[in-house]
Amino acid sequence: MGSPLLLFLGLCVIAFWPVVLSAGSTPASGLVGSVHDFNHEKWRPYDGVTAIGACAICHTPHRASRTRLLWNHTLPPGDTFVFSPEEPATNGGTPLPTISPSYRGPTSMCLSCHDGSVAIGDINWYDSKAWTGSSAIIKKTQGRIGYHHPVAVPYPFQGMRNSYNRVTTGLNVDISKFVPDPKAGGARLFRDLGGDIVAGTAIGASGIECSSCHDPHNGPAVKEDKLLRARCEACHIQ
Amino acid sequence: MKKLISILVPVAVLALPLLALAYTGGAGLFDSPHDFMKPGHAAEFGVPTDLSPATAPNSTNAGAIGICTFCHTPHRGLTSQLTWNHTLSANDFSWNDTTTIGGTTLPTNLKTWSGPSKLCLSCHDGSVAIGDIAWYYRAARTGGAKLSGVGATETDFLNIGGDLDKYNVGQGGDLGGTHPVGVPYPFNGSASTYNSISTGTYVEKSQFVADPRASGIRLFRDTGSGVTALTGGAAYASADVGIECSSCHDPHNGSTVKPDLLNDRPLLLRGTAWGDGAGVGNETYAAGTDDYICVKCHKMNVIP
Repeated sequence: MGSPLLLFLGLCVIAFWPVVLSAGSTPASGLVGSVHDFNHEKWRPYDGVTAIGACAICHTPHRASRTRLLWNHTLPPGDTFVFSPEEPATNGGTPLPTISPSYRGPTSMCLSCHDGSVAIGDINWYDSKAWTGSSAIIKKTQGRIGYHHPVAVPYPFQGMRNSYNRVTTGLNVDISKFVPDPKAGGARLFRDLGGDIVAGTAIGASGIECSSCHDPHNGPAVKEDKLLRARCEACHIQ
Repeated sequence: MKKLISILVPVAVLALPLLALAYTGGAGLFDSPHDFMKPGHAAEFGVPTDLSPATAPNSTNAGAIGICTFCHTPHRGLTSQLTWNHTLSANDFSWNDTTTIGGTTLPTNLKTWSGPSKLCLSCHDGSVAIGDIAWYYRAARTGGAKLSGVGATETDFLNIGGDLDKYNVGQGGDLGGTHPVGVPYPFNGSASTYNSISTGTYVEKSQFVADPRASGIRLFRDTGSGVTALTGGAAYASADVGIECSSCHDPHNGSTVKPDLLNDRPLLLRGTAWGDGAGVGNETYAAGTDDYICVKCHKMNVIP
């Protein structure tokens, strides 16, 4: 099976997965009523708790497992995400990274739920204690994220090779096929400050995460019904 | 009749602890977790028995402990601002990240910063006993229990319904996993500078409520020589606005604190810990109405 077919299939998975997740959510209408509004009755997995905060499954103001984003959802212990081992690099030669539990980018937080290894309701702190949920998510990548669009990888920001998450844009990447600054198309880039990943861009050190294309809060930039803040053409010139 | 009594008495006995746990958000300091006049405090927090209203009610010796005493004193306070009485923590406070994801630097100077958060942490970091105060009844006092839970057992005196350690924040000076305080707030949708920290370049300022004071959030301003509360609702244009612990919590259980209908947990929050905030913008709070605290600042519920 050739790489272009794999890439196509991967994009299909990426494209249709959020369709299922976002059923019933109005694009760009905010968190309330969206698939990530955990105040909704269907997301109350705890016995004895009649209501929780809309933000509580992902964020907490105290005793978060990570200060960054005040992350509350249980991170898979020791889980390391790898892309398909048979394809260690993209067509252009950009190595596909390993995303370790210590990785500082937000992708690891998205995967803490979406890899399916941790229940949606497993959180570090709410109402003065940790909680254990029971709902399972529909996808179970459980450490394998092959056949998905690469994340935690460099973006050829400003038409040049970038280094990000210890990965450098491949020598055979056709940089002319990438929008120099995809922000105008709604994409959100990140920058690598020597291992610390924060929002924004830096010449030579910019990259992409899950939230480059998806807005988990269903914010104003979300288009259509896929929690997508950017379409393919925001980055790819075809 | 005897049968009825035999039923009612045990029920009443069982209900007593519930009555002791009575706490109503927004009902004021009395009977709140910060009501230090309660008799139980004397034994629990090492207050000398000669000051205990439990052992010496109406005593001519000392009388009851002042309800404000553990935090404030009219004389010999440790700081003039808020006439602070509780012994300050020796901890330097910091987070285990240097910035937020938007690039706002997290402070490392709360111990010396003039904002009030260090006063909250003087008790809540668990390093200083609740009863350690600078001045009461002509002497400094030393307490016993700490919010780290050391030396304390759960009682209902504080109305906290659990172990003391649940209310610990910043143990050992580590504020990792805690919402930033002593940091700027993007007031009016613009960058601010507060505690010598400026709003990060990549903070999505449009996702913050322009003026959250309208929904009960308390903001502060950095005057350059100290901190003052930014009270009232008058328009304010200076980019020197920030947040402290008391932006979201009211230690005095004042009118901005909402009854937490989830389980009446005394979080002293200026909103509820549950819900999605759909009613926040309307400010039509009534019992049973969602008043979710997070979205009072974070604009995630607003239709753009």
